[in-house]
Amino acid sequence: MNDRMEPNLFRYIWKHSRRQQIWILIVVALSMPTYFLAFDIPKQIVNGPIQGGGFETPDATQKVMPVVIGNPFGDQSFTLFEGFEVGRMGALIALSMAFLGYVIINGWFKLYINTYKGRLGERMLRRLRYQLVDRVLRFPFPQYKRVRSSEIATMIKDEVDPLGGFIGEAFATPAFLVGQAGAALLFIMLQSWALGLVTLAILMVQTILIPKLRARLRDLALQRQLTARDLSGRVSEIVDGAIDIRLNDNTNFERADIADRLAKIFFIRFDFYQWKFMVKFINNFLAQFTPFVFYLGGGILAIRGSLDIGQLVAVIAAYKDLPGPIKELIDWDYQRLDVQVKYTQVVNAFDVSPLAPPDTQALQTESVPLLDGPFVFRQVSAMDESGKTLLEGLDLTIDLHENVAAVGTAGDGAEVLGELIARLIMPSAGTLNAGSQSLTSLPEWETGRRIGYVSAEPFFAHGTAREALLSGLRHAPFRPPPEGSGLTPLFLKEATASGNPQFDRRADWVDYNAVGAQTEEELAKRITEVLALVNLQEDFYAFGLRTKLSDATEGAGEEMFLNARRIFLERLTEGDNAADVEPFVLTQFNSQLTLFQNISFGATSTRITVPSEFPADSPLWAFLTEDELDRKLYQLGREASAVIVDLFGEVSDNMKILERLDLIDPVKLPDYSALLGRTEGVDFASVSTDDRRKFIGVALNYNEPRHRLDLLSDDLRDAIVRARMSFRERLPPELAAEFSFHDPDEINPYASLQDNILFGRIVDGRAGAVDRVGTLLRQILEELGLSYAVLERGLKYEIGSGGRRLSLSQRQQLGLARVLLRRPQFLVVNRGLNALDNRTVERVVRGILDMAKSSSPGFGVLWITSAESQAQLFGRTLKFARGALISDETTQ
Amino acid sequence: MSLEEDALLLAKVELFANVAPRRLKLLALASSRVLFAAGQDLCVEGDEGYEAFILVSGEADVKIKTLTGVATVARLKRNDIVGEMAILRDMPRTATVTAVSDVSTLRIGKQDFLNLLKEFPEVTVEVMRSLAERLARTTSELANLRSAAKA
Repeated sequence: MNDRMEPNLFRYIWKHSRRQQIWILIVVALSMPTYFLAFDIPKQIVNGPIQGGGFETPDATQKVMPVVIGNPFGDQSFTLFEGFEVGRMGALIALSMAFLGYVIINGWFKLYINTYKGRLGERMLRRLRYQLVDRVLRFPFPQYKRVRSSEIATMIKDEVDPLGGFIGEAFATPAFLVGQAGAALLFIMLQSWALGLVTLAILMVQTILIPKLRARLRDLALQRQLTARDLSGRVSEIVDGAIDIRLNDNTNFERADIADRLAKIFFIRFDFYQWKFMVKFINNFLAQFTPFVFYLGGGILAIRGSLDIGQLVAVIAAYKDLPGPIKELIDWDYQRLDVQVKYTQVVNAFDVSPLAPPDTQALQTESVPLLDGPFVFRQVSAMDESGKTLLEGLDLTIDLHENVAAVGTAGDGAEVLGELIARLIMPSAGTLNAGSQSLTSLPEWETGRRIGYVSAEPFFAHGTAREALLSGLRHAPFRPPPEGSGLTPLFLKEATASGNPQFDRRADWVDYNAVGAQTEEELAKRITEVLALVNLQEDFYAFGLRTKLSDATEGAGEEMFLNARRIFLERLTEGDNAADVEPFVLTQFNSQLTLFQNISFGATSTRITVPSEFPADSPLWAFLTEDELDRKLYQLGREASAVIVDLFGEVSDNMKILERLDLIDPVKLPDYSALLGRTEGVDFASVSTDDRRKFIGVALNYNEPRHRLDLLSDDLRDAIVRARMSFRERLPPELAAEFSFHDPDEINPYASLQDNILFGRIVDGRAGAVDRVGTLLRQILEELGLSYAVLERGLKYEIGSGGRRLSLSQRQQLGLARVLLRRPQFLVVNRGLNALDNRTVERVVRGILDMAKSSSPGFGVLWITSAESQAQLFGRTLKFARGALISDETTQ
Repeated sequence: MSLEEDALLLAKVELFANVAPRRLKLLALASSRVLFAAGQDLCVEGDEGYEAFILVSGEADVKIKTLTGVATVARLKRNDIVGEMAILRDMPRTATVTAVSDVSTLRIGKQDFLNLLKEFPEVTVEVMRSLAERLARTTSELANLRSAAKA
């Protein structure tokens, strides 16, 4: 099958829009007569009815709008219709009406043609973009390492964009312009052969010379495109690597690099402009040279009497119609060059072979066949891109139900085994079969469901954790979309017209059969199981507990959580560790909270993140003036600052210990040092508001168990508890909505789920308190049937682009969970959990092996690792060294 | 439980004996007080360790698994340190330490300690000196044991 892209833009356009292009040509041709007739009418109106030409007597009549077929090569003409006989006023009305009619008809033609061209262009653009993405999805795997994603994106997004506008013009415009120019030239020829030939000669020079000059422009356009694409690749590298760049102080090198690239682009672009306007100048000159010849040459001929003056005037008049179309033609040709360059560039980048044939990725909604036998390697070798041997002469059979460990350090060949089974690399020699078939010949719709492959760097698209988990199951639209949201006939028609598939994005693409679940509840159960298996359940559970209650409470109402709070309090006070949690009590200072949290005694909406950064004149601070709280907090903040400046003053600003002491931003230490000096021995009343606010800000973030500066007195604690009420009373209405206060009988929508249920904070410094409270909380939520609701809230956690908001180990665990969820027939984990500690990995491995054996149908496992201790858990161990299998032991 | 108090406590630990008090205050700031109830384990043999504990009050038993069962090998009191090796190198805990009474400790995190060493090379030198002294002592004890075994 020929899977190459058409390198010639015109053939590509012709291939996909032949019928539409011909139709436009026909419509353009049809629009011509009225177009030219409309030019003539104003003259007729002025000369006729208005100036009175032909209406010399009041009752004179004339025939208007005759239909005459003229013969341009002679005087004979054939009259079809003599015209209407009308008087002067009648003629004015008739001709004016005709003018209006032509205007409407011309306008309508223009509207129709432009709309048609626009739609045609947009369809072709859609088709091209779709084809390009489709090809990306079928690239051979090594190609993905070679290309830069942002460059591919730029090509699909920006570089093909001008093609849309051009495609509609591709055939009709030149045909129209050539017609116009040809007509004008023909008319000149008819008047005077000599002048016609001169015109033709100059035209020839123009049409040959200008494109030649423009060849250089095309080269520059090409360079401009390539450098711009490079630039976008580099910019995205800077964004992706910004953290490393800054941590290594490479920013100025990046600046130099960008400046260098911009310079190159500048000179290319400037050169481009110089050429462009030079070509324009030459072109204009040639266009004006022709009339010069007419005036001089034609004039001489006329004076000598060898050319009729009437003919010369007619030639000059006819020539007026020539430069317009010629200029437009040359412009069109330039646009053609430009888009052809872009198109060729893009096509070259996407013309990669071998592409996966489309049928290997066909949509399969039916269940796909199982692999029918073991993986059999016969003298298999593999090489990397540079031709270095990665694995040599491998003879091996792995049964589909076996659990096998492959051990070897990186580069020893163990990981190549996994990559071969996943088909990320192809054998350079030997055969690799899966049962009766060659593994390489299996379609992706089979391997992608039957073989599970987990690498150390799984990728996740931007979205929630739940979406990431389910992303492995999106094989086909298994269930129709909700009623009324299906694809409309227009949507389907346009998809067909642009060669796009008719897949419904809004359908439910989750393969429930693969999960082994038919309902949402069963799916939830499976998700919980799989997360527990990879040791990720607690993490998402914790995410769930940290979510604010205001973030969607679907699945469980507020009453349920309030109930959980009551039960938690009961159990906690009944047990031996009641002191694990310090409850929120309106009349008691809570030492687990910062001073500001103690005063506001509630939670803030997401709009207020750092209350201490509120401006000093904000009404939020009204409460400070009561009870001399400002003086007390100022004192505390000053003392804390003094200790911190004393201890850290000489510490470099990247000192990690400072992270624990987050009261003062390390970069501001010198400011505070100066501030301390300025306020030394100064009475509070004389300190400026700004300076006061700085120290009070430090005090408000103070948390005794965390910062351990031993600065709280009972007196201050009492004052803070008293301030709670004045804080509430003095809170201005516009801020009141951003605060919600702790109330034992109410859910606090801005507080986290955990704060809501505990209605207090876990006491810092009690060994095991976090675990004990966590267990109790878990137990209660389980009893109330709220566990999954919490987990689900956790699964709504936005994992960020590529899962970057998760730690590497969490990403690896999530990657494994995603594959386990779809129950592959054979699971390959290629160092997939290497960011986790050994003990956790061993626990996960035991769980997976257990599941492989006990679930129905079970599955085989190939576990690639460098840790021998993990390998001991498997029934069979393969050892690799220097690209060869060195031992194959089966243990019981 | 003030900073001063904790800094003094650290100064009594052999490993930090020579470190300047100002630096110990920093370490104290980075550390935290942790309470263990009687019967709770401070650490469990075989677990990975990320922290050391200095006993502030209360007592704890050090137990080791042997072929015949669990043997108590030592009782720790105020100012004794538990798991100091864990903050210097990656290794599983070599013993289980269980609180006999309620125990108050000062917890030193491995990362905090390493950060301190990175920031202040002179602290590293002093810690090395303590370790070298300990090594010298262990070596001479070993030599004594060997000669005793030969005799």
